[in-house]
Amino acid sequence: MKKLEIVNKVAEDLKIPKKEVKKVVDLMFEEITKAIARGEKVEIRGLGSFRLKRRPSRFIRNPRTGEEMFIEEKYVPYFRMGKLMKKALNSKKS
Amino acid sequence: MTKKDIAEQIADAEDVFLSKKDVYRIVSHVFDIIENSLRSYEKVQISGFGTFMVKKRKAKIGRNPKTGEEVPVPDRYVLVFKPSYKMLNMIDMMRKRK
Repeated sequence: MKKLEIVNKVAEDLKIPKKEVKKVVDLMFEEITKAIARGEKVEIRGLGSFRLKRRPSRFIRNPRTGEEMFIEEKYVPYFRMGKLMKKALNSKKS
Repeated sequence: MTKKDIAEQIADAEDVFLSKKDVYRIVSHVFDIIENSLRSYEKVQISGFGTFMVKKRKAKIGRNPKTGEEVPVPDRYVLVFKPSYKMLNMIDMMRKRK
């Protein structure tokens, strides 16, 4: 399923103009991204939560040339599924 | 940050004319749709944000780290999120600006 399909379904189900729904949906994922970048935990009940994780700087070695390279530290988003989701995915499996 | 906080921030945006309540209804419904799709093991792709997908993890023999005892772990499903490059870049840019 893609974003556009979600927008269409929400507009139809809630009887709100598609244009307005799209604006809200775009802003919503933008706000979540910003919050994660600020280091805030974003928790969506049922689905899971997002956090920011730090990947420390490190040296790596190119195995072919033996050349050493420095990789700067970086921050990456990290998602952890919620308990309800975990339960749902693993209870009705065939 | 929760669904409520997200809705409040969006409702405050100057080009959004919907009420706080309507914005919350949209936000909430979007997550319901995402959840339902994932519950039927269908992936959800949000362009500019990332992809949620259900993956199967094979059964394995686990070990109790304290006792060393072997414990079988059956097949299981996990929900994973793969951030889009746009999101990774945005986060990287915002961290560097600080």
